[in-house]
Amino acid sequence: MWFDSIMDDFKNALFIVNKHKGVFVPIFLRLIMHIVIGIILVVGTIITITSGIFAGISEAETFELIMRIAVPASLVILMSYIIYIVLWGLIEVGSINLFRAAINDETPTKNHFFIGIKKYLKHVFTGKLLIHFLMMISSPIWLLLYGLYFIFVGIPTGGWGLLFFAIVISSYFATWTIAIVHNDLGPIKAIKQSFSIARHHFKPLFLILLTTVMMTQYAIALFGPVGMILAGWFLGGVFRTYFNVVIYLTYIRFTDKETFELN
Amino acid sequence: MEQIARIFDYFKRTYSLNTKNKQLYYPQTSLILLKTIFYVISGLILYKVMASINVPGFSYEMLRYSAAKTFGLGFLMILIHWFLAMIVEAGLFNMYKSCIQHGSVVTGSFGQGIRKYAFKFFLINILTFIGWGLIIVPYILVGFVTLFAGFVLVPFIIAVFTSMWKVSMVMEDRKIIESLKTSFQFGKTHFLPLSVLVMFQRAFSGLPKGSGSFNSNSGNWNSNYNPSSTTGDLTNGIENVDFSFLQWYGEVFQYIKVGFFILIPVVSVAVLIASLIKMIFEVFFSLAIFIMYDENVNDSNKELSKEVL
Repeated sequence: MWFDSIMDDFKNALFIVNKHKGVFVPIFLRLIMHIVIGIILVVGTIITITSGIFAGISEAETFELIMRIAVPASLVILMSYIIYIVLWGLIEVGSINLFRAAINDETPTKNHFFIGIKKYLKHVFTGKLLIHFLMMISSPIWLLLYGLYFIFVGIPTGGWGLLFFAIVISSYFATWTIAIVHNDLGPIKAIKQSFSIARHHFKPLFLILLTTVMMTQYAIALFGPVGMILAGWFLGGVFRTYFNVVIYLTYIRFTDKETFELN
Repeated sequence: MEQIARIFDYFKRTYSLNTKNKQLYYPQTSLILLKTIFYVISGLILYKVMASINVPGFSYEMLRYSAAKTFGLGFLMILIHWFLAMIVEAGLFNMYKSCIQHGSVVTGSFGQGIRKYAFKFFLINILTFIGWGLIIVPYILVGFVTLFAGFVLVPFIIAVFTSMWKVSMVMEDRKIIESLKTSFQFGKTHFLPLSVLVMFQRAFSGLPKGSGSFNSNSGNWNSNYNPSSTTGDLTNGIENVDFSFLQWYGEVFQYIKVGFFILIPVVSVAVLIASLIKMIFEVFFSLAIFIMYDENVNDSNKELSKEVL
């Protein structure tokens, strides 16, 4: 039964992360990434404001004023976005390669992390850009649909509908990075694979992602608001890492030919 | 780690029992429906209060009077819900027991549970209330000293140690204090896995936010109002009325009316659906806690009998 198999994945993941604690190292890298992005945004804002002042923004005409604010601000946002994608990609592929090592019962080392980056960063970076691009060009449609969904489903379900909607969407994008690392696929094929898995095994993926969201949120809030600020990143990171290993194990089970046929 | 991993085996058994015994959802569904009706009534009563302000000859004294009556009725509704929730809990817990012991819900187990445990559950709830009353000051102090962490952690730890209180009482027909001791003992010996299970339970069903469950804190209802109170005494105290306010209110009331006509059904449906979703998780994790108790107590009984042999 699908539920029992998922529970076995949860169990196995627990033993794996307990044995190979190296899989948790990227949590600290993620913190560094967020600090870097934060610094860039703060410094960028300060530079934008000061350069505006020095350029005589107070005396500028409306159009000139907008251009003097919009151009440097857009540059800062664009730069932050590119740096974010690169850093996110680095950590994502490195982490997945660490998970792969741990699942294969090898001790995850920095070599696994860097090999992952060297081999798969390009694909993950391209895939992420592609997803963002598609989201951006289709944004008017899905924003409208989301607005309607919010009114007709989100409110009458007391917010559960919105959570379920986010999880349904995430289910379709849950395994594409794993597909790149595990099966050495290109970005488009990996996204297709991820969609195909979500279509064929929707219930298990939905359950894992729902558990991830609920448990991570609860763990982050367990130590109160101050604890959330000081240790939320770590607690959330531990839970997310564990559930990512669960997703990886589930992915392996789903893409395993024999199991696939059996299902 | 083995012990924590066993939680997923409990979940497997829980899922299997859940899918085979849909009757487990009936009692709470009835309670949720009742709660939704209470919400609709509360909304309508509140609407009547708002409407009464717009009636010529309205006075603030009348409003005070209706508010007092409304508060009384609201309190009564909360009390009824609390009482019914307790009864449902007693019956439901016996259904869980029957499910675990026989693999399915035995006919009449709900009623039997009410007869056997409702009063004991009532006493437990009173004891819990008194217990919280006693620790409320240190709890607040600890909460502030630990930079608010205590506000979340203390109830969580208390929940871990008392989660088997009613379970042990139902599963082994123990007395109140005896089952509390068992619960503490269980919490001590299985602290980590039980904490994880309680975490699952709380993460999914959350702290009570208007579910139809026995855990639910019904105190967040709208204040209610007795409709009969608006029909009499409308001519008293006209001299107290602020006419400019009433004029303004008369204009605004049209919008309030529309708002109420939209809000009452929307909120009621939201309460109904959200409560039903939460109920699924609540039933699942409550049953998982029963299974954890059953499996661990069985294991220790087996070990004991081995030692005796």
